[in-house]
Amino acid sequence: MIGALWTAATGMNSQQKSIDVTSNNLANVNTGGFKKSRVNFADLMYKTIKQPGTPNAQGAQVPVGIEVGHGSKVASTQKVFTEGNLKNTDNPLDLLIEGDGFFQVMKPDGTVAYTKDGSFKQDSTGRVVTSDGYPLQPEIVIPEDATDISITSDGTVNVKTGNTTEQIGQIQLYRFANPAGLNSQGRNLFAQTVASGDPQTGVPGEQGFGNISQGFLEMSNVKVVEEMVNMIAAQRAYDVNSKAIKAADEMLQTANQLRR
Amino acid sequence: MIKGLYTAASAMNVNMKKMDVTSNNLANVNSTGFKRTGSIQNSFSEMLISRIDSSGKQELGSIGGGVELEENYTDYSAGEFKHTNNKLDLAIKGRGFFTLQTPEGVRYSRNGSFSLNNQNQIVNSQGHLLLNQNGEPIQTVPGREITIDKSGQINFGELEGDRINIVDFDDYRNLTKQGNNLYQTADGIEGNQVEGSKVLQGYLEGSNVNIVQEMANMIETTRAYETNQKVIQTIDNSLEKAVNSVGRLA
Repeated sequence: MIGALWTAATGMNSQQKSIDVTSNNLANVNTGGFKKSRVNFADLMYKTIKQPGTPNAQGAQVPVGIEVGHGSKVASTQKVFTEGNLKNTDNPLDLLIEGDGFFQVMKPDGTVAYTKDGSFKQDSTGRVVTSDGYPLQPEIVIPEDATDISITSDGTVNVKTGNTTEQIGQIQLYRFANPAGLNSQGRNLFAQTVASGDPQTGVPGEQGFGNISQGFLEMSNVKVVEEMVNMIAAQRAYDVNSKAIKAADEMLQTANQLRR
Repeated sequence: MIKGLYTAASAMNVNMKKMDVTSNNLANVNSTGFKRTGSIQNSFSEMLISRIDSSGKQELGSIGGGVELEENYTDYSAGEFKHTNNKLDLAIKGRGFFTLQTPEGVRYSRNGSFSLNNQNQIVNSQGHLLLNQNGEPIQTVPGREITIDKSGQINFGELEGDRINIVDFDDYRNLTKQGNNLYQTADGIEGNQVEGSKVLQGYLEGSNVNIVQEMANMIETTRAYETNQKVIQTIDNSLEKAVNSVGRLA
């Protein structure tokens, strides 16, 4: 009996996690380059009361045994790397990766992180940096007297100074065998893990890497309707598990009243 | 008299176990590819009772001894399909299971929520490898679009890849649930290649738990539990009379 109480409690816990993830997705519905997460549930282990194949009282083998499950758990929270919507900004340092790949940035502690958020800016020394001031790697420095920055689809950065146009850098993209295994660090940054594998680097538009589009931003890939539906499903599942706890409680009460 | 006490108690015990099963179903109402469990209860074998007196032995009829949980079966009907648009979310329309290599051996699953590991192999959320028709892990080609057709054939752009091994069993009763959406077969039983089932890319199969049905089961179970409690109380009252009132003098 107590089993049902704990089983239903695991159900409530799982659904609570689902609501946590959904609300984070919804909170980031307008975050550039944000990738939504999804909760995957799995059932917990089973307790075998009667093994299938054991002989019954008449000597025949029972075809199906008795196994009782212990509830559900969160198997994983998976980042979903589908593409978000595009937004035209006309800002020369807003970059969009059309397809596979991440930008690499250097954090202040000297480690690198990866991002899909291409809303870059210039800092005081002309370096191309993220909104948090983390420089893009390999570093690109835009000369002070540059008047026009153009970035082609293969990631070459050209600037116009006076009447001459010169190439000042090349944007590299990085990708992982298992992007869902990356560690989310907040601030739209991802860090490499053992599960994600080592980054492979390449030039945009080659070897399956996406092209770069200048003047566009990738928006969040969160779909509000989908999240709302997930929320309703999770809340109702939470509800129904609380009912199971209540029923189990009532049964315990009944048992308690056996002896008055 | 006392027999009735134990009969009612056996029914209370069975209803407890049924409640455990129902709450497991409800806890997994959102688990991908989960198949609900149902319970079958069975009466104990009836006994023939007779009266023996000076005229000899006379049969009176039979009497039951209560109820037991006969078996918990798994209902393998399909859950609803949910569109996710994720390239490595797969659902099987029709019969069949994905085969997975786990540290304990080959296991089967209906949960098609896959991703890649750091060696570009297709794995499930526990990291177990999805197997192809030769029983080997499926290697993907980095940077190429993965498309999976209805037969489970994987293509990487124009490059032809492996075919996912989808197997079915003649008798599902040989499968036992292991948790983590995995099924285990009895020793030595292997699945056959499935025919007529379709692999849907970008879809997941939801749980086949029907909330209304489970709620109805839950109400039935709790009420049956209460009824049997009343039976025990009634017997207890009668016993109380027999013990305390029948033999009382004046």
